[in-house]
Amino acid sequence: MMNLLAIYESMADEKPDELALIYRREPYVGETRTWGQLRERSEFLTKRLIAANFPEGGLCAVVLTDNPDMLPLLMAIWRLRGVAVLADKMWGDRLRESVFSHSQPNAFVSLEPELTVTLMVQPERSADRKRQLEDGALLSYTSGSTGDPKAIVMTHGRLSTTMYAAAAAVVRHRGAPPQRVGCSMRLSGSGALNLHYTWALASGATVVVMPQLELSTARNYWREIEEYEVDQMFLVPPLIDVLNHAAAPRLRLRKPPICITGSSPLSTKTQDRFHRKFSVGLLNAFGLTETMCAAFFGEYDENGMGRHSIGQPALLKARLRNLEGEVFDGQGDGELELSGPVMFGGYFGNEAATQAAFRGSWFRTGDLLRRDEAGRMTTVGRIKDVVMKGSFAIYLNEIEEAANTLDGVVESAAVPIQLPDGGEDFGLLVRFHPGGAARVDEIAGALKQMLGGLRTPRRVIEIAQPLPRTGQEKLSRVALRALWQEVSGQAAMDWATQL
Amino acid sequence: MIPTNGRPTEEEFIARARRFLREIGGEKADSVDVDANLIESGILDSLAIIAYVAFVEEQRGSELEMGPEELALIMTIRSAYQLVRIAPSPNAA
Repeated sequence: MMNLLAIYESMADEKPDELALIYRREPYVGETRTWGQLRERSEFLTKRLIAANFPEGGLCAVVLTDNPDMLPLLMAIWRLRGVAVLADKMWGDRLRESVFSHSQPNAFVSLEPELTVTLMVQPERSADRKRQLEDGALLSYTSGSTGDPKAIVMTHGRLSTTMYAAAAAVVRHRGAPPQRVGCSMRLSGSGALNLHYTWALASGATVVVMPQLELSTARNYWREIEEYEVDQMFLVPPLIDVLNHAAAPRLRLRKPPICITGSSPLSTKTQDRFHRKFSVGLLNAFGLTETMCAAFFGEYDENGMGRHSIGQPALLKARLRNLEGEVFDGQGDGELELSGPVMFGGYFGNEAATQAAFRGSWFRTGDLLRRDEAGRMTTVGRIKDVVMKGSFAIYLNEIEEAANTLDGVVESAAVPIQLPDGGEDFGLLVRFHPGGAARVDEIAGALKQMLGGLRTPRRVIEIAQPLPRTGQEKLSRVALRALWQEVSGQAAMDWATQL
Repeated sequence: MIPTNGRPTEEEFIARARRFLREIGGEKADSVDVDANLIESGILDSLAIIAYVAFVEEQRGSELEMGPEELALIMTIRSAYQLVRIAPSPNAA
């Protein structure tokens, strides 16, 4: 079955009274939805969309929230052959406006404080954009507020194929499919949606929406995992660190769940501590929005602990290209390139970015990987101008374009910085017009308003000299890292500086 | 204060904590009160607090078990020193 709505419908046919959702997170603690109830609610919401004149096959902007009506809303959009443009409620004004300006949705739907449907008048969609949206389920932006927006159309076909492969990978690892998938992350985008809800759908499992994991809630994590019989969980590496520091030991009354991490680099220190503290193998998965979801699912060692390797890809071919630009076999470091039927078809409405991202049918991931003598691959760093903050990809040019629009700013440069615990963030160098009234301490606040907290620099430093540039007037990322170190006394990231 | 088992004195810890917080929190860390809540004062966010916990572990020379008491102590510079001061000796059996 290659359509997500059809899969939900078949679950409602097969086991209408079995639970699809269990809420353990405020304000919905105690609420549940069966597969049959999901379908009923989605049919009701379909009628509401029709009553509001939502056009069949339209694009529908949806602000994601952890709300029991969110899955039924997506199902309702799909029933009308629509595509959901996913928006994070934590985005800033500029980012939200840019995404909607670029995607040109036909309607804006919000579930909170109550269901509202706002129709939007848009120009006729071009033939190329129509073609790109064929079979579309989700439109997911990885960078939205620049003149170079990167949005991925997740088609029903690619997404369902990917998620069935993910479900199969878990069965290979664990011997049986999960019954319950725990979700301790905020529903912020396609990643959180697919890594929990769509993965559970492909496995026929119930999603348990647990309290959002943070330092203050971590203590009871394993108790809740056991109490709610969760047997599959996914957490990004920063949240694995939260567990490592603040979770009470497992009670060990039940077999541990399959534990998977990914979406940003996992340090061996974090993985080792998790193994030592909880005696549960942690699998290091790897995937991109461009591959719909996880494409590599890690591997266990002979003791049942997770290796640092990301394992072998499912449904995709993978190869490495070295610094000399040659594809190579065997041991060494190189950029990961991926090709296969679930790879996205190009950035929505951005042909130039699509052209730059592919070598023939091979997608250039921008990730630097190392392959050892046994053929195992681990992530080393990134070649693209991106930092992974938490589990989110932050494009440096997006920050710079926004900063350069602020009053008094002549130019700016975002610089990746390494946090002492191995995490990633970025700082901002800013040069002002001489004698102007602009103040460095106002920049972060202005960017937060424009782009949201996630895209706010950890530190802003004013500089007097022009920013270092290459012969083509592009910012010199290598020289910027050195400049940051000089003016901040803090080391910038130095990975991949040779590339 | 006298250093014990190679761990920093309170003054040393506060100076190192300020340096650390400046690295991840910027210049505003220079002026933060040692008794101020680091999250409420905007120095740390939910991502950076874990980096700060790792820093405190490094200063005490052993890993922290973050129960409710430790969670409360970590929130200010001065109280976080308690976690360093009362850490088990690195040489303890």
